[in-house]
Amino acid sequence: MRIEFPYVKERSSIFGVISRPVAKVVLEDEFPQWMYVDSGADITLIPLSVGRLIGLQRMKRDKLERIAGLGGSSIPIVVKPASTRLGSVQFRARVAWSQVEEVPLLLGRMDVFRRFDVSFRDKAGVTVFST
Amino acid sequence: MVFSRCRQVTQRRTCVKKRRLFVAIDFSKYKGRYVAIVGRRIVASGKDAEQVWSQAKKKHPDAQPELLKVSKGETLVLITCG
Repeated sequence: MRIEFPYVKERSSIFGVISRPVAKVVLEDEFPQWMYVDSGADITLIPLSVGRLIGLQRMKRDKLERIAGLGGSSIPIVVKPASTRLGSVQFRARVAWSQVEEVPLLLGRMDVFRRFDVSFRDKAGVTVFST
Repeated sequence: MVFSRCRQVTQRRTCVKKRRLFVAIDFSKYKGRYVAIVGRRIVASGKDAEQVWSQAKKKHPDAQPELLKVSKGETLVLITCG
């Protein structure tokens, strides 16, 4: 399988219009989400309301963890498995369900990148996933 | 081989279509919000993914909306780690 996603053009406060790699990921077989493809992220990250949308529930046994980005600021997350589809490939992947809303959707490496060869083709403006 | 080539061409066309989709939609009004896209149109937007999805499904019950969270315009350096 080979699937390409064009970069999305967005505005950056510093650099003006900038192209970013995104991919369409279908969560729980029903909810297509556009996520930034982030090879620097250990795990896929979804905001609070996206987790609720796909039916995640916080249980007593769920351990509240914290993940950090640049600068050391951290956000509370719960790690949950979620049915994930990228192109025609369906698999279960662990996702970090943020307990705050103000985070972007990131497609991280855990349970995802080992299934695909991922190429960031900046010149062509596409991200290619191939198995 | 021919089949494989055909699939690649089809996927390339889909990719080009998606590129046109993003170029065609002006997201600048939706900074920091979720948008639901059906076809080439934004059919709902808001700050909560569940609500945006519900609005989109109410308007287009037979469609499968795609959700995008539009960045606020910041410059992103994205890393998450434990």
